[in-house]
Amino acid sequence: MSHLHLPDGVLPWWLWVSGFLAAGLLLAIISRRHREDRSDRLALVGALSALMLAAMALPLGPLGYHLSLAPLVGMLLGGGLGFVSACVVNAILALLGHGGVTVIGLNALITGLAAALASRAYRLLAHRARPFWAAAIAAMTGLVGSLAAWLVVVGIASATPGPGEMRLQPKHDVEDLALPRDTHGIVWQRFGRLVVLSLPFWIVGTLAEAAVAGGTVQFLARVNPSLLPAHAREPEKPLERRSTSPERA
Amino acid sequence: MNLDVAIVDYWASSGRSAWHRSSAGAKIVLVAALIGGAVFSNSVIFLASAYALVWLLVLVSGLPIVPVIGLAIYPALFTLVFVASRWDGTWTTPTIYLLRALCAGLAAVWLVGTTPYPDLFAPISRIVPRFVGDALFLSYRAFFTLANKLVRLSVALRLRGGWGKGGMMRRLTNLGQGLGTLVLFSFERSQRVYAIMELRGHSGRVCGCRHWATHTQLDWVPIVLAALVIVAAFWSRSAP
Repeated sequence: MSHLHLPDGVLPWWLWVSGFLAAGLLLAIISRRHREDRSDRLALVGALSALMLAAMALPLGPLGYHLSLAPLVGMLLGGGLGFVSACVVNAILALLGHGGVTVIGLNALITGLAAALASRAYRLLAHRARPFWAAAIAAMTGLVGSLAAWLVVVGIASATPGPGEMRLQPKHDVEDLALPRDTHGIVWQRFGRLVVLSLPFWIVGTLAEAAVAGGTVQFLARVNPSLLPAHAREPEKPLERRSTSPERA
Repeated sequence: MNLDVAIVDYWASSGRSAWHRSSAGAKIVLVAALIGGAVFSNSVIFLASAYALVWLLVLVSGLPIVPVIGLAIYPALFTLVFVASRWDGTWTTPTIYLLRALCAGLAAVWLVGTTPYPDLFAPISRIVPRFVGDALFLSYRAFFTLANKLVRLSVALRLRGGWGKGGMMRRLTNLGQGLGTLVLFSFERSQRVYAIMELRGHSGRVCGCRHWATHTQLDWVPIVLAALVIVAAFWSRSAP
């Protein structure tokens, strides 16, 4: 879990509706772009989305802490199809209470951004670094972008009055909301608390995702480099072993 | 966590309650009303009543209580961080946030626990692009195979010392290399699925069935409940 799934009811309605619209628009564009793809591409999206779901079955600690594999799937499928995978996975997770139903769009945008950025970064790094480091740095890049998007969303949520504050004061006009006077300070206080509470989880999650993505890409580069989109790099040569046999000597 | 998918799928396909026989379309309307009511309501009484209604639905549907409690707690864990950040000294705000998330989460679990996945995904695939709808079906089908393989992989990693020696980063790298075998399997599986789809005359839509919209005699119950939930939500907003 490189980011905290947003639950239902904590965000203002216009934000999650915008998330649905933005995700829907992106899905329409991506689907249009890939409409001529062979069905095996679709089957691959299905299989790798299922792998994302299955990887979440491996707990990495308490509180349901798990990997998302979004950066890795982004590297393997490309940014567009990686986003489709993120949408599919978030929709299935939301039906199990893991992330909200109303925020499927926003959760998909945040996860999909990690996939898209990781895909782009991996293509840039694939020819310049060893597979492990190219994938690990790409995964970190994707997750930093994803964190930035998450912070924007929770920042907006922090600046929105809560349900208690929205309640009208008796004997007052409609405009009189029970907002505290120092609204600016309160917003920063809320935002700061959210960041402090979630940042340790994020750091651990990012390092774990980077190591796993690096390990997987290193394995694929050795075994079947044609599966990697930027597979121009030659497969790694096996390490030379010093022989002590008399024939070599 | 996600072996829960397999458990919930079993509940949906093996259940024999009246709710299992009710059409998916009517149940989706009820769940949409519950989630909409929960998300827009600021009334603790309405939210608590809606949450009690969802638990009643769970009990009447014959879903096993203990696993459902496990699934119902997930949304609370995610909400706690938000609740802690917005602590204002009263119990009303945290209660509202928690009840919103719990009610919406449990309603979704009840829906998937009483509705087989083809009936649930078919209406969703009507409103999303075809490519995405089909990916939803294929992901769900592939999940069970991959989850079993992953469980075996994790056992193999533990038995061969891949999870024991070295630091955490070493273990995660080993896990990544293990996942590489699953990626290879996923690629091979996608080729097989493609061949099967071609053989069966894939027409461009994985599931075009309309079973989810077939009305049953029980459909009026979720529709009436949905109407009541919407009326109660509006009433609770306008009440002083």
